[in-house]
Amino acid sequence: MAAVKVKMKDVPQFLEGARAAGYGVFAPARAPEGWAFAPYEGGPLKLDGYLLTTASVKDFALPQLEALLSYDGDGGRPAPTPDGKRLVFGVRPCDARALALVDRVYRDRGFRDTHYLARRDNTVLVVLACHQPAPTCFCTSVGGGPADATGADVIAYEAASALVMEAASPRGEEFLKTLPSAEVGAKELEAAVKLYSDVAAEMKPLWDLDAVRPKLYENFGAPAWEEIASRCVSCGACTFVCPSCHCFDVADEGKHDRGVRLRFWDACTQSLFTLHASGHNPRELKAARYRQRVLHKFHYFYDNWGENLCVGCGRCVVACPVNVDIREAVTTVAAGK
Amino acid sequence: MAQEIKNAALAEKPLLPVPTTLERVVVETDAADLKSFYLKFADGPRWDYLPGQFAELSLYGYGEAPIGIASSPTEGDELMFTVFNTEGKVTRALHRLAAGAAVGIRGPLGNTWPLEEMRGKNVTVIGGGFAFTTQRSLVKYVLANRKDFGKLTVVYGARSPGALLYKPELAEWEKSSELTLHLTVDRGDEGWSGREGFVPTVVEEEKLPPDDAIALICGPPIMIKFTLPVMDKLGWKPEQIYTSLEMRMKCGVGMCGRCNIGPKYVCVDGPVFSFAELSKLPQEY
Repeated sequence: MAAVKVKMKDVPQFLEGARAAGYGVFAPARAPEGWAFAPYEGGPLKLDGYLLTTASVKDFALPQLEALLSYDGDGGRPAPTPDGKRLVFGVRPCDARALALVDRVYRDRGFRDTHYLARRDNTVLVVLACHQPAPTCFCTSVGGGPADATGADVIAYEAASALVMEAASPRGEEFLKTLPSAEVGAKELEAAVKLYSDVAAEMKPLWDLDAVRPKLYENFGAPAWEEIASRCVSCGACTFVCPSCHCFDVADEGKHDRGVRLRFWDACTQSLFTLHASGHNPRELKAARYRQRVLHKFHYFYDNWGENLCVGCGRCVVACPVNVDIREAVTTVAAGK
Repeated sequence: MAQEIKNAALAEKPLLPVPTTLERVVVETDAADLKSFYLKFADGPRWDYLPGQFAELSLYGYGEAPIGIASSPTEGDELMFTVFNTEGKVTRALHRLAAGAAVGIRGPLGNTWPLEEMRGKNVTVIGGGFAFTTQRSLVKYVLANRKDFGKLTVVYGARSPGALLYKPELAEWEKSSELTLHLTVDRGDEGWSGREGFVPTVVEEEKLPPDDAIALICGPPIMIKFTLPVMDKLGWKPEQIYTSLEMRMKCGVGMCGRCNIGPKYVCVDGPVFSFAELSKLPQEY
C-alpha cells in the first residue's frame, strides 16, 4: 500500500491538516496518571517519554459507558449511530491489534454491533511503531510485535528526522490521500521498517504458546490457580485497562416510562458477572474467575478464532493493586504447579 | 449441528428489542409463581423460530431476561413464554403485567433441539419442574409433524400436582394415542390419583429404551444427576442425550461474555448441548 513521509517538525501541521479535513484528532498527552489520548488542538506534539497510554484505545470503539437506546411510554428508539470522523494518532501496535480481535466478536459472529462498528468505521488509527518496549511489554510472546500493523489503518515509523507512514487498511489509504505529504519509495520504507527489527529481536518470547496452550487447559484443576488468585481483590482493574477485554453489562436508568438503556464495561473477575437469579454461580470462586480471564485470553478465544486474545501490552500487570501478573500465571500453570 | 433460525433484523440490530403486545396471561401453578405470557408481534418486524430457542424479554425501565420459548411455531403466530418469578427485577415486573401491556422481545436466540438428528427416530422427553417449557414446544412440534418422528415418550414430573405446568394439555396427552405420557409427582394430594415418585425412578421402571432414539432431558440439577446413571444402565449413550442449559446472559448474541463454558457460549452455541459435547467442556455451568 501507499507510503508517505512527513518531517518530524511537520507532524503538527499534518495533524492540523487532518482537523481541517474534518477529523476529530486525538494524540497522546501527559495526564494526571501517565498518558492518555487527548484531543489535539494544535501546537507542538510532546511525546518525550511516551511508551503507552494508561487506558487503552478501546474507549474509541467500545466506550466505558454508552446509551444503546432511549425509551418512553411509546417504546424504545435506538440511540443515534455515532458519527464524526476521528483520527487517533500514536496508538501502539498492541492496541490496534486488540481492536482487530474484538472485531471478530462484534462483527464476525453473525451479529453486527451497530454502534461499535460505526465507531470503528469512523476512526482512523495511526499506529506508532515502538522503539522501546516498557518493562511490562510482551507483545512478541503473543503473536504481536513492536511494528505489527494488525488492526492499524496507518502504521508510522520514526526514521531519523521524518515519520514514514504506510497505509495498512483501505481506510488508512483513503486518509493518507486526503493530506499533503511526500510519497516514499519501497526502499525508504524498507529502511524505516528495518529500524525496528532490533527491538523485536530484543523482546524474546516468554513462551512457545503452541506448547503452553494445551498445558493450561490440562491443568484446569491445578492448585496454582487458587494460589495465584488468592490475593486478587476482584476489582476488575485488569479488565478495564485491557484493550481486548470486551465484556459488557446492560442496565436501564430511569423509570418504566422514561429512561435510557445503558451499556458499560463489565469484568469476568467479579462474581456478579455470572450469578444466576437462582443464586447458583458457575464461577463462584475468584480462582475460577481469574482462570476464566487467563484461559479466555490464551485458550478459548484461540479455539474460536485461531488467535490469542492477549496482546501483551502489560497494562493489567501495571494496574493490578496486588501484583497479580498474567505472565507469571501462564508460566506457573503451564508448569503444572 | 442443530439447524438454526436467525433473523436479519437481529443480525443488524442485535440489541434492539422488537415490540410485542401481551395478549393474555395464564397462571400455571397453585403458587402462582409461574405464569405463561402469550405475546403477539406489534406492527413491524416479526420472526420465526424452532423448538429449543429462546428470546430476551425486555421491559423498559427494568431490563431483560433470557427465557425459553414454550410455544411451537406450529401453533400460529402467538409466542408463549412460561416464566418463574425469581423476584428479580424483570420477572417480578413481568408477573405484574396484564393483557395489553407492551413487551419488547429479542430473538430468536440460540440453537434448537436437534431436530435433524431426531428426524425418523424415537423421541424421549424427560422433564422435571418448570424446566419443561421448551420441551413442551418440542412435543407440540412433534405432534404437528407426527410422521417425521418415531415413538414419542414423555416423562414429566413436578413436586406436587399443583406445580405441574400446562395441566389441561397434559390431560389431553394422557388420552392421546400419539404419545405415551408418564406423569409423576413427588407427593400427591387428595385430588391426585396418578403416579407418585421421582423422575429417575420412573425412567428406570419404564425401562425407556435407547434404540434408535434421542432423549431430551431438562430439570433441576439433582434430577439430571440421578437420571443419567439410570439411562447409562439402560444403554443410552451420551451422544443420544441432549439438555438445555441456563446461564446469566445480557446480550444473547455472544458479545457480552458471561455465558461461556470454555470456548462455547450458551447463547449462540447452545442452549442445547448433548452430554457428549458437555463432557469435553469444563464443569462451569
